[in-house]
Amino acid sequence: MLNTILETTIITETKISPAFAPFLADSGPNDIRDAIVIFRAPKPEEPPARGRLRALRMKLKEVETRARSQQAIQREVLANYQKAGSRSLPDKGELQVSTIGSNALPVASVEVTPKTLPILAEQPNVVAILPNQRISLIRPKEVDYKALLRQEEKDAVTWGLKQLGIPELWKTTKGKGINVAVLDTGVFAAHPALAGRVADFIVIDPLGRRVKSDPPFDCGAHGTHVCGTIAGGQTAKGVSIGVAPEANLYVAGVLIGDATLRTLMEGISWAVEKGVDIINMSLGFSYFEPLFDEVFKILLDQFGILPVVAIGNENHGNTSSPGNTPNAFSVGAVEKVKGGKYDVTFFSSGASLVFPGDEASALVTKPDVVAPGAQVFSCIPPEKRPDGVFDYSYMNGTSMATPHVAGVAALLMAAKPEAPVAEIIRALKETAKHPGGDGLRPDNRWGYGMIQPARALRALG
Amino acid sequence: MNLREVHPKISREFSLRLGRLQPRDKVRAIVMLRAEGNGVARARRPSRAERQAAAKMISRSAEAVLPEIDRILERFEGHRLAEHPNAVGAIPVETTADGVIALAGADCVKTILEDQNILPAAESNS
Repeated sequence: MLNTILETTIITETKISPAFAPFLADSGPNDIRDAIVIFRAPKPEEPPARGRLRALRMKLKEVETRARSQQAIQREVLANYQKAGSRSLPDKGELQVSTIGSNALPVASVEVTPKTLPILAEQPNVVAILPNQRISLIRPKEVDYKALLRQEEKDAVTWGLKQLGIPELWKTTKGKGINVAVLDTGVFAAHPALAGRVADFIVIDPLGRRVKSDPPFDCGAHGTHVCGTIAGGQTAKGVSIGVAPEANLYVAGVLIGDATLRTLMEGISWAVEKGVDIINMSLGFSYFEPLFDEVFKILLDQFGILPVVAIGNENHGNTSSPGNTPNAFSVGAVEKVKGGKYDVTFFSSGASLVFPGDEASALVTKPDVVAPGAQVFSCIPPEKRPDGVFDYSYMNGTSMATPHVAGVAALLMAAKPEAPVAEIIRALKETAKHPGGDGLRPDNRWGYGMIQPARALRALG
Repeated sequence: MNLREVHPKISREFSLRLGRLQPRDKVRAIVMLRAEGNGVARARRPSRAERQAAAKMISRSAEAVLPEIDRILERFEGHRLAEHPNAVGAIPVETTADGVIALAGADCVKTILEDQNILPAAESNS
C-alpha cells in the first residue's frame, strides 16, 4: 500500500512543472490559477511521403485524424478533473476548463488550485501540467557601437582581445608559423588588415571542384570578418583586431552558392593536404548529423588538427550540427555587459545530448567553451553605405566567437610546438572560467567557461 | 531491410529521409571509407610534412577499396562523384536508398552522411 502511494506521488510530481513551486508555496489551498495541461496523444501514422503537395495533403489529413482522436481523450480528462476537482473546492464550484485551438495539439487550458493539481496529475492520460505565463518577444539589445568603438580606439584593441588578455600573450608569441584554415564564404585578402596573412585560397564549388582564384575574394563578408579576428592586424586608427596576427591563413570558400556537406568535405581535405594546424568552421548543417564526428576524430587522431566549430545561434536548449558532436571543439558566444563584465549572449546555443548505450559519449554537453561573440569588430570587404564606404564592421554570432578560440589555439601552438592537440584542448578547457565555479563545469550554457589564454599557456608548462 | 530501422553507420535522420524516398529516387551521400593512417598525431603534434604524408597514406588506403564500392554502386544505379577518395578517406556518391543501405553493409565503409546543406553561423551585423 505504502509503495503504491509512493509510486503515485512520484508519477504525480513528475507531471507537475517545477515552475508551480512559488504558487504552491505562497498560495492558499483553494487559490486558483491558470494552467496548461498536456495529455497523451495517439501515436502518429507513417511519416509524410516526399513531394510538397502530397506531403502537405497527408499532413493535413493526419492533423484532422489526430484532432478527432485527441478530442475523446481530452473530453475524458477534463470531465474527470472537473468532477473530482469540484469535490475539493469549498463551495463545490466548478473549475474552468477550455480547449486550445482545434485540438491539433494535445493541450488544454484549465484552472487549478494547490489541492486540485495532484488530482489532475493522477489521471493516466495527463503527461504534464505547466503554469500559464506571460510570453514576450526576445528583442536584440540595442548596442551603442559608437561608444564601444571610441573605447576600442582608446584601448587600441577590440573588447574581445582585451577581455582575453591577448596583448599580454603577444610578449610571448603572435602565432608565427601556425597555419589556420578558414572554411567560410571566402576572404577579401586585399584588405589592409590582412596584408601578408592569406597564404593560400581556393574556391570549392557546389560540385566539389577546386577552383583557383586570384585575387582571393569573399562572396559575402562573413569569411573576411572571421579571418580578421584570427589573424588580422590593425585598423588605420591603430585598433588591433586579430588574436594571432602572425599566423597564416589558408582560406577555402566553401559557403559559395548551394553549399553542401560535399563542398565542406572537399574544403577539409584541401586544408589537410596543406598541412594546417587548426580548422575554423563558423558554420552549421541543416540537420543533426552525429556521424560527422568521424571526420573530427580523423582530424584529431590522424593529423593532430584542431577543429574549432561554432555551436550555433539558436538560443539555449538547441545546438547546431556539427558543433554538437563529441570531438568538435565547439564554441559559444559571450557579450560585453555593464560594469566591465561579460555574459553568455541570449542567442548562443547550448544543450546536453544523451546517447543511451553509447559508452564513450553517453552524455555530450555543448559548447565546450565560450569566447567573445557579440559586438565583434573586424574587417570586411569594402561596403558602400549611404554615409560612406566601410571596410570594418561589428558582427554578432558564435561564428565570431569561434575565430577568437582558433586564434588563441594558434598562439598556444606557436608557444608550445611540441604540445599534442589533445593537450591544447585540455589546457583551454581546464583553465576556462565558469561564473558558478569549477563544480558546475561543464554545463550547457558556458561549457567549461570563458577561455583564459594566459592561464592555458601556463598550464601547458 | 526496413529503411526506417536505424543502421549504425547511418544517422537516424538520414535513415528516416531514406525511408521516404521512392525506390528509384537518387540521393547524394558522402561515404567514409576505412583507411589506415600513420597515427603519429596521438603522441605529439605532427609537422606539416608528416600531415601531408598521412593524408596521402589515408587517401591511398581508401583507394584500395573503391572496386568494392563500385560493384555495389553498379547494382543500385549509382556512381561515384569524385575520382579519388579525399585526405580523410571520404568519397561522394549518388545512388538509391537501397544503394546507401547496401554500402553501409560493406566492411570497408565506416559511415555514410547525406550531402546536406551547410550555412554560416552568423547572427547579425551592423
